[in-house]
Amino acid sequence: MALSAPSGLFGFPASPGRAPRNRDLDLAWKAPCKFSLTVLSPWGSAALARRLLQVSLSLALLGLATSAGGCLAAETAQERLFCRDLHQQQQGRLWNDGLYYRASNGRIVQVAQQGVIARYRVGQLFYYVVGSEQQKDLPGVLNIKFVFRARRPIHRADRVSVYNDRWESYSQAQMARAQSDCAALSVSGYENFHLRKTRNYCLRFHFHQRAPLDTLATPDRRESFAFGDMIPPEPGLVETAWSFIGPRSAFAAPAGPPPETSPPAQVKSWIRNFNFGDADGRCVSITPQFPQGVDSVHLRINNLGSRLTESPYSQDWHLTFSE
Amino acid sequence: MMVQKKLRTALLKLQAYAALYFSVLYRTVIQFWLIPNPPTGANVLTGGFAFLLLYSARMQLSLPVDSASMYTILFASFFIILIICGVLVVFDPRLRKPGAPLQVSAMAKLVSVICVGIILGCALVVLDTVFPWIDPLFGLANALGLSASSATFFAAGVAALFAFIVILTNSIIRAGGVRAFFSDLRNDVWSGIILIMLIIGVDLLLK
Repeated sequence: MALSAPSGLFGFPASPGRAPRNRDLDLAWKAPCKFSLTVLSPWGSAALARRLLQVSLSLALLGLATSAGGCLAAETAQERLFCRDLHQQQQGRLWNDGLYYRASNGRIVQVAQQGVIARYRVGQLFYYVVGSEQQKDLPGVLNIKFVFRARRPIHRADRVSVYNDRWESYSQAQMARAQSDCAALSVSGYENFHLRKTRNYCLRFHFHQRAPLDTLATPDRRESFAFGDMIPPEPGLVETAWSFIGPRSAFAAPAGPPPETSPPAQVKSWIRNFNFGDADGRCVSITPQFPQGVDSVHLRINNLGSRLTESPYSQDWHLTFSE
Repeated sequence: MMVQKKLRTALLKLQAYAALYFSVLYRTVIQFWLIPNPPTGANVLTGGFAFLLLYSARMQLSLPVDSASMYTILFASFFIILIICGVLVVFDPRLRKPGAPLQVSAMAKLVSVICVGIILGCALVVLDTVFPWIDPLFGLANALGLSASSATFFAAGVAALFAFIVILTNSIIRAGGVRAFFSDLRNDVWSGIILIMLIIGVDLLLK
């Protein structure tokens, strides 16, 4: 469902080419589905009437948006606006999926596959998904994986943080249960579930979904959720058995191991639902939440497509953080 | 010729040891005081099997199998089991002779029964790779609104129960029938204790 917002009504910028102000930006970034209303003090009865009309209209639109299939998969006004600006800036040269963000000067910047990213200046990323004619109005799923690395040991480095944006439609109790069940998910447990088909309660009943797309439907899809080469392999049975009798290996080298081989890595795996809509491409917003104390990130986005027959399409970014 | 003879002797010794070991292992029953003494080094072999199956069972339930986790779990679980088994044997009046030293061999046999039961429980969890029985169980746990740790406890409990049924069946056959086995109150009491010990043990190891 297309949602056209009157200018400035939802906390998004009034003019399409201008970057949003910081306060509006924060509100929009944190809750893309929960529209924030900017209510100013009324200066007269006419202004008050206009404000009331705007509020009523926005509430009606909000009701329509939520009733028409949920706000998670539906394209938000923010994404639509970003996509429009992206098309204008690229002048139709958008043939491949790509990752973008809006710089402080308002221009849209494509994230290089290997580069530097400002930790505190990039609050929101947008993944541009090229849709085919057959995919129009079909649901799609992205799996977004982050492997954050640091020279020092990172808190909860042996756990995977999982999140599915469908949890946002859960009740508080359901959300608390999902988060509690997934709090102690180990890296090896996550990998074994996807690569060796072992059992895991959190992944099976909370993280993965059956609808609108079954994320475990095919072995190909299941395996696409694994981190694979993104994280160093854990010791196997022989190494574990040897560690009981043989000398124990050092957990982490104290001074500056190479980031790619260093064990301290914090990993996150997210599922993001979207709908291809009726446009040629779709901009899917991603709020990355870069943790403190990390030096770099290996980001991989898997586009699982919209049909069982499609193989997931994967793209990688190796980014170093600057302040 | 000499080497061949030595190799043949070594293989025969190995075969004899394996036969003795497995004959004792197959005689694992609830009435642990009737189990013959295991051959030397049998506990090391049982420990090896236990480690292998525990590792595979933990992997099957997507639990951490790194050396740090395994250290903690093995140490804590077996320490608790050893202590509980040791304490329990003292309370059996037939095993506690007045003035006699502590029945260490009876304790060792009880620990052996518990360990074999845990191995069986872990083997049943590993069997899920061939016959998927855990997924429906998790589905039921989810329908009941259980948490992840409760669901794992549920699966571990069911595995322990199956392991207990195997040992109980063996005990009944060796006792000469259901009536013969359950006619002795001592067997009934130890059956209950071993079932509880198995549930606790398998759950601790698959936590």
